[in-house]
Amino acid sequence: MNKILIVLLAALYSQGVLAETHLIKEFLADPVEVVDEQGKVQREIARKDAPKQPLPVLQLNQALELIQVELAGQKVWLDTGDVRIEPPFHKTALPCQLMPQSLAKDTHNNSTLSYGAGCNQ
Amino acid sequence: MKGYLLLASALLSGCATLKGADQAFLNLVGPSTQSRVEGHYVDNADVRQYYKLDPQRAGQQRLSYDGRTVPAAEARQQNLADIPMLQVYLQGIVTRLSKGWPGQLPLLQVKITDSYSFGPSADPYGNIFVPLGMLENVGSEDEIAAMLGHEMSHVLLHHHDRAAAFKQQKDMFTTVASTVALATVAANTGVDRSSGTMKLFSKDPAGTQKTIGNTVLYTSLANSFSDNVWSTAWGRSQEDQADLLGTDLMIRAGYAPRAATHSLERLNDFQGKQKPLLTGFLTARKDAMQDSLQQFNLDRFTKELDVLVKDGLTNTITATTDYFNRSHMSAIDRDTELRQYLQREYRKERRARVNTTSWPKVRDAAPVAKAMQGYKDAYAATAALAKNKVPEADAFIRRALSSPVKDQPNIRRTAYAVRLAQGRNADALKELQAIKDWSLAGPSTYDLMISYYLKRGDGKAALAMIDKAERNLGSEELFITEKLLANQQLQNTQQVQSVLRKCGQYPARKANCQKLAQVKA
Repeated sequence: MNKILIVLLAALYSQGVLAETHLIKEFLADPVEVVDEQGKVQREIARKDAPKQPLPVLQLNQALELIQVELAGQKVWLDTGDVRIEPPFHKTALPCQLMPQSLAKDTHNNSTLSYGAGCNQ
Repeated sequence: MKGYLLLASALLSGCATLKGADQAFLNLVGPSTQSRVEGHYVDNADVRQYYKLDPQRAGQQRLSYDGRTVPAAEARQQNLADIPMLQVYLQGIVTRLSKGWPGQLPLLQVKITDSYSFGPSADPYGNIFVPLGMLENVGSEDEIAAMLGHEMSHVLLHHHDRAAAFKQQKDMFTTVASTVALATVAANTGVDRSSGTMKLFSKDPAGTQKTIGNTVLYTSLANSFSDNVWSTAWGRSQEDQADLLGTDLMIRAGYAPRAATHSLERLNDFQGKQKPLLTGFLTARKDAMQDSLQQFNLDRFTKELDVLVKDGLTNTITATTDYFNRSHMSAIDRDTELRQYLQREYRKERRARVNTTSWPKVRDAAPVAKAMQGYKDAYAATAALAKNKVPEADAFIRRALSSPVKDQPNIRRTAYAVRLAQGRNADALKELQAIKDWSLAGPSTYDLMISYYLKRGDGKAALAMIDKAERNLGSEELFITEKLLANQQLQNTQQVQSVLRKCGQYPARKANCQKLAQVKA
C-alpha cells in the first residue's frame, strides 16, 4: 500500500516539476477557452485580454492535454491546443544536430515531396 | 496591392499547365494559404478538380511502376525495411484515411525506409516512404495519420506536377513577378507639373515601401533564381495545402487533428533552429531599396536592384533555396496556421483526444520491436564507425545480425562496412552476398555489388545484378554505364551497340557511355 502511495506521489510530483519548466509563449486561439479539469468549456477569453507576457505552466494533464495556469490570480485549466508552449512537449529522441553526419545527410529521390526540410547540417 | 495580386493570379491561372502557381504567388506576397480557405478544404473547388482520376495519368503511373523508365534522379534512393506487421498497420492507416477522400483513389503504397530522418515523403507514383526515424519518435496512431495524410495529399493534389511545369514555364513566372512589382511602383507614382518641368513623385511612399518590402525583394530574386525561388514558394503553398487536406482526411477518418501539432512540433525539434541563410544580405538590400524609394530616386533604385541581382548571383542557388526552405517552411508557422484553420472550421473536432494506446501496442509487439531494435543496432554501428570506434561497431552489428531483419540490405550493408573497417575484405563481401531480398535494396547497395563483379571481370554476374536493380528500382538509366561495361567485358558486340544507343537517350549518362565506347574501341 505504502509503495503504491509513494509511486503515485512521485508521479504527481514529477508531473508538477515537469510542468513548472514550461511557459505559455503565445495564445493562438481567439477566443481562448477556459475549461475545467476534465476539459469541459467553462468560459471564453478574447485573445486581446490574455496575458502578453510568458505565463508559467503550473500543472500538466498529459492524457487530456490540459495545462493549469494562473490567470488574474485564479488557477484555471486551458487546452494545450489554444496556446504555444515553450519548450514544446513533443520532441524527437535524436534531432538532426545529434545525428552522425553520415546519417543526417539523408537521401531522397528528386521527385519526392517530404513532410519537412529534413536535416540541413 | 490587391489588384496586382489579382492580376498576377489571373495571368498565372490562365495557363493550364501552371495550376497552383497563382497560389504560390499569393503565398510570397499575400496572406497564408490556410487563411484564404473558406469552408473545409476538401470541399473547395481547387480540390474538387482532382476528384476524378485522369485515366491516361493512371496508365502512366502504372507504366512507371512496372517498366524501367523511371529517371535515375527519381528512383528510390534508400533501402527498404521489411517488417510485415508494421507494414500492414501503416497501410491500414492509409486505407482508413483514404475513405475520407470523396474522389477516385490512385494507388497508394506505404514503404518503410531505413532512414533515421523524421519526415515521411511521397513520390509521384503513389509510394509513401515512412522512415524508421519517424516511427521511433511518434507517440500515437493519430500522429502517424497526420503525417501520412499529409503525404497522401501531395499525391491526391498532383503536387508532383510542379517540377514538370517549371521546366516548361519558368520564364512566365519572372515576367509576372516583374509585372506586379513595376505595376505597384507605377500605380503609386504621380506627375508633378507645378514647377514647369515634369517631375515624378510618390503618392503613397509608405504603401509602396510595404509592397517593395515584400514583392520587389522577391521579384528581384525571382529574376535571378526564378525556378528555385518560385519553385520553393510554390512548394510552400503545396505544403500548406497538404496540411489542410491531410487534416480534413484525418477528421473524416475519426482521428484527432491535434496530433498534427504533435508531429509539427517534433519536426521543428528534429530540424533544429534554422536561421535564414541570407538574412544579412536581404536586410541590407531591402533597407537600401526602401531608402531609394523614400527619396524617390528611381535611378538609384534601379541600380540597387541591379546590385541585388548581381550580388544574389554570387550566392549559390542552393543557399537561396535553403533560405526559402528555412524561413518559409517553418514547422511552427505551419502549426499556427493549421490551428487557426481548425478553430475556424472544426471547433468541436479539434478537441478530440489522441489515442495513445493503439500505436504502442503495435510498436511493442515482439515482431515489430525486435525488427526495429535490429535497425537501431545497425544505426548505432554506423554511428560508431563514424567515430572510428570499430570494436563498438562490431558489437552493435553482431546484435543486428541476430535480429529477425538480419538479412535485409541495410543490416548487411552496415556489416559490410564494419568488416571493411576491420580489414576483413572477404568477409565484407560475404555480408553483401547474404542479402536475401534484393527488391528492398537501394541504388548504393546495388552499386557495391555491381562494382565488385565488374572489378573481378565477371560481366555475367554484373549483368544479373543490374537486371535486378532495373526491375526493382524501375530505372534503366541508373546503371546503364555499368551495363555497357559488363557487356564489353563479355565481348557481346550486339548488346554493346544496343546499350550505347539507349544510353544516348540519357543526357546525364551519354558522355560517360561514349568515353567507355572509345576506350574499348
